[in-house]
Amino acid sequence: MKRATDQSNPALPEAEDHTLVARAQAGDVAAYDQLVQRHQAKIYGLIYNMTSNQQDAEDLVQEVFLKGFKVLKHFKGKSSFYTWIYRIAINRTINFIKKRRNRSALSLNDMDSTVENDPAYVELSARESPLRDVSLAELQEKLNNALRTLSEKHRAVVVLHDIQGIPHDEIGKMMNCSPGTVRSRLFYARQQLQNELAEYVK
Amino acid sequence: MKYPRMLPLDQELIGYHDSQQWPEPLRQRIAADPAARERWECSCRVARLLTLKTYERPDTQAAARCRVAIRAAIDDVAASSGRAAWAWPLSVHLLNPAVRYGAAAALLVLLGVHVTTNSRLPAIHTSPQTLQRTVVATPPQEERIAASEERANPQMTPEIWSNLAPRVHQHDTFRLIGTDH
Repeated sequence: MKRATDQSNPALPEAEDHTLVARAQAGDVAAYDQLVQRHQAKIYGLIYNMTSNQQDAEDLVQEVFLKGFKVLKHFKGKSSFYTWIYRIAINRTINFIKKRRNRSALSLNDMDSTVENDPAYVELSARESPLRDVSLAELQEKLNNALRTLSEKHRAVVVLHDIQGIPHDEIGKMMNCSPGTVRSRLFYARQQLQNELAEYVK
Repeated sequence: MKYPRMLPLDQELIGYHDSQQWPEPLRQRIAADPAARERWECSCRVARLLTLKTYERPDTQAAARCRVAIRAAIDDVAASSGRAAWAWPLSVHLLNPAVRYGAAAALLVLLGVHVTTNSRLPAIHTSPQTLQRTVVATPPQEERIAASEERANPQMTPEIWSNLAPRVHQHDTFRLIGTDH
């Protein structure tokens, strides 16, 4: 499966993260600022795809990194900083969604025009279907609404795996569950999405 | 809505991306189970559709805006908690059990010293005898004022006068001689 702009595995050297974390733990705020810079886009992508709201995503990204700064002294380096900060982001976002229950309206980012060259979009447009002339904006809205029908944990797994391309075992570490549970959640989430997006996938 | 149960084959398949090659045993099992293959292909179509979401881009200023806000919030927290630059390494080192036990032992010793010192000092300061001695030894205020005045302007007694008299006479003698010359 081709991933258009995979923001999840930009192959940032972990060793550098480790050094930056040590410096940040020693009180170097600039080092933490660099950690923010390195991981901000991925964390934003995760939260945005889970909330489907730009403003909520921006606010939550700030909360996540602030929380990370406050508890960084407790980070013992058993996992990578990337896994650790993702765990904070997932928990924070799940709590946020539970409280809000999707009361906030959709507020979506713009679609990059290069999407029209993506094989998935080309295949969708070329298929013999009365809905093949569907606009990009409409498709985007339907995708986001479909995601919102999932429970918080199922949504997190779908976003982490299908959108951000993170492997099952890594997701298991982030969500504190086994890779088998991740696969099971992914299976049921996709089943539900099949129903929500039936017009595009059948 | 009730969804079909996840079968072992589904569980095995979901570990693969649709571009990945299946191992031969798995390929044979899927060939024998068209329903499983159909479920798998449908699941892949959903996953492919979801990748379109990776084309959603935040506005160009969002990242910078977010980063500035994070930095400001961190500076606020650091300032309000009054955390000095040395406080973090200290707390990190205290996570080490050996350092923690050492610090606890040192604290206990300090407490012990403090308690021992305190148990002696009140006996000196607050015993009634000491207080009485202090009161008796202190002269009344009028006497103290008189003594200080006397030190400043001593009364002329015959003894003092006798000590001073020869010096006065000598002084006068010199002055008289000088006048004559």
